[in-house]
Amino acid sequence: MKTTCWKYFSFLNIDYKHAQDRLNQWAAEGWELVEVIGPFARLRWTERTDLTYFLDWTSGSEELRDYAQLVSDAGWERVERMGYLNIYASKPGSHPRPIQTDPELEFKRFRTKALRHMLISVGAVLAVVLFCLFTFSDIDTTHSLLSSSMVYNSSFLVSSLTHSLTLSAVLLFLPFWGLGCAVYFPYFFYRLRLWGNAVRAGEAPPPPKRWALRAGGLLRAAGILSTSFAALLLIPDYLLNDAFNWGVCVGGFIGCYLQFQRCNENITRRRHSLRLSVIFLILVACGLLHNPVRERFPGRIPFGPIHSQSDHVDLEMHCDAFLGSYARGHERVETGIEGQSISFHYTVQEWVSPAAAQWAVGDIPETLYPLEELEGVWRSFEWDTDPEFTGVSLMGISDHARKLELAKCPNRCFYLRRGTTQVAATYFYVPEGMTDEELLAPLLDWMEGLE
Amino acid sequence: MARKKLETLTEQMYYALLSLWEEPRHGYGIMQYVEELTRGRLVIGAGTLYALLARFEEEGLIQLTDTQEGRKYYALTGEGRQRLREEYQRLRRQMADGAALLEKEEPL
Repeated sequence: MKTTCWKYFSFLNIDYKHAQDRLNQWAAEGWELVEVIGPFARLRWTERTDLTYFLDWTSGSEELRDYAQLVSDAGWERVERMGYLNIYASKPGSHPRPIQTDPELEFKRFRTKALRHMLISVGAVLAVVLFCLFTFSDIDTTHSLLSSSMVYNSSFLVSSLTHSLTLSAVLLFLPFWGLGCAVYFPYFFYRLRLWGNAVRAGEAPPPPKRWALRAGGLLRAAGILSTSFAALLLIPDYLLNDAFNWGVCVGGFIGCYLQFQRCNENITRRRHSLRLSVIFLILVACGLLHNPVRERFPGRIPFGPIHSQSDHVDLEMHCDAFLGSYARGHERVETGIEGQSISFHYTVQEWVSPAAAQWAVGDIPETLYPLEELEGVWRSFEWDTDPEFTGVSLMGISDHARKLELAKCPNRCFYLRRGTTQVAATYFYVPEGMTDEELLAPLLDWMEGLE
Repeated sequence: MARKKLETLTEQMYYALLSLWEEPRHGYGIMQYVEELTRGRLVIGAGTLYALLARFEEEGLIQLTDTQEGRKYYALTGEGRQRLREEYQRLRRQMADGAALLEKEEPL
C-alpha cells in the first residue's frame, strides 16, 4: 500500500478555513501532512485517528517564543508555514482545543499580523518594480548607440530580453502577474469586507462560492509555478550566460542563509537547512561548470575574433535567451604600422526572428546618418566636445561616462543592421586616410557569416 | 472593531481574569483552570488567550511575575482585582434583575 502521496492543495490565503477543512478531511481519511511545496501537499499514511489541523495567521516571520510555547502547551505542533499562515497539527493524544476561540480577536490578529505585513510587502515589491522601470527606461534614445550595453535599443528592458533567460521570463510573465493581481486584490478585499461584517454581526463569514475557491486556487498555483519556472531559469543562466556572476551567487546564498537564520523551530530548520545546502551546491556546480558548458554550446553568436589581425581579444559578455542573443567585447587590431593599433569595441544583438528584431530595435534615430556606399550601415556624428549631462539614473550616468570617454580620443561610431542582427561598433585611434569601407570590411564579412 | 477600553468583559475575558484570583498562573495553566472551573463549558484557545493576556497587561489589569522554561506567569494587579469585583457586581445585578422578572409566572 502507498504510504506517501502528493495532492493538489492550492487556496488563496483569504479562504484559509477551507484549506483547514481540506486538511482535516484528509486527516479523517488517514493522511497526515508532511509538507507543502508550491500548489501541492505531500501526505503520509497515518494510523492516528485523533489528528486535526488548525491554520493560524502569522506575520510571515517566526512566532514569538512565548506564543509558540503556549500553543505547544495547548497540544499543537507547527508542521508547515504557507505565507502568512502557520499550519498546526494536534499532538498525539492531546485532543487540543482550537487555537482561536474568539472570532473578533482572530480577525484582529489577521489585521495586525498578516494584513499589515502583506501590504508592506506588496508596497516594497511595487517600489522595486517602479524603481527598476524608472532606472532602466531612462535612456536617451538618440545616444544609446554609444552606450556599451545598449547596442541600440531605446529601452534596457527590451535589450535585456537577450541578456538572461530569467529576466526574459520575468518580463514575459509580468503582464500576466499584473492581471493576476488585478483579479486577486478585489476578491481579497471583497472577502475581507464580508469577514469583517460577519464578525461585527457575531456570525460566521459566508462561505465562498465553489467556483471562486477553485479559480482562486488555480490563480495561486499559476503564480507559484510561473515564479518557480523563472527562478529555475537561474540555473541555465548561471551555466550559459554572463548576465550573473559570482557576486550574484554569493549574494543569493547570503540571502538564503539569512532566511534560514530566522527559523527557530527544529522541524522547519532541518527542512530549510536541506534546501539551503541544495541551493548552495547547485550554485557552486553552476559556477564551476560555466566555462566548460559555454565552450560546448557557443550559442547564436560565435566566439572568436572578428578581425584576423587582432592581437588581443576580450569577450566581456556573451548571453543566449529565448528571443535573442547578446555579445559584447573589444579587440586590439594591428594596423601594420608599428606602435599603432585600432581599439575596436562592439556589442551584438541577434534576434530569433525578423519580426522580433523589428519589434525590438524599432526605427533608426535621426542622429545617425546612413553611409551611402554601404547599405544597412549608419554612422553617428563624432563626439568631439563634452556632452551635456541628461541622465538622472544609474544607466544615464553610465551612458554619460561612456560619452565622456568617447570625447577624449578620436573615434568612429557605427550602427549596422543585417536581417535579425544589429551591431554597434566603435573604433578608436583609426589611422588617417583609412576609409569607412576599409575599416568595416572585416565586421561586415563576420556579419555575413553570422547570417 | 477594536474595543477602546474594557468597559464590559466578554465571558472569555472574565474567566481568564478570574483564574488569576487565587494565585499567579501561566497561559496553559489559565486554559486548564478555566475548563476545569466551568466543567468544560468554556474553552479558551491558546491564540485567543495570548491576545487577551497582552491586552490585560497593556491596560494594567495583570502583571508578569515570573518566567520559567519559556512560560510566563501572570498575577492580578490591584486594578485588575477591582475590575473583576466590578464585573462580578455587574453580573450579580443582571442576575437579580433577571430573577425578579423571569422567575415570576409568565404573563398570559
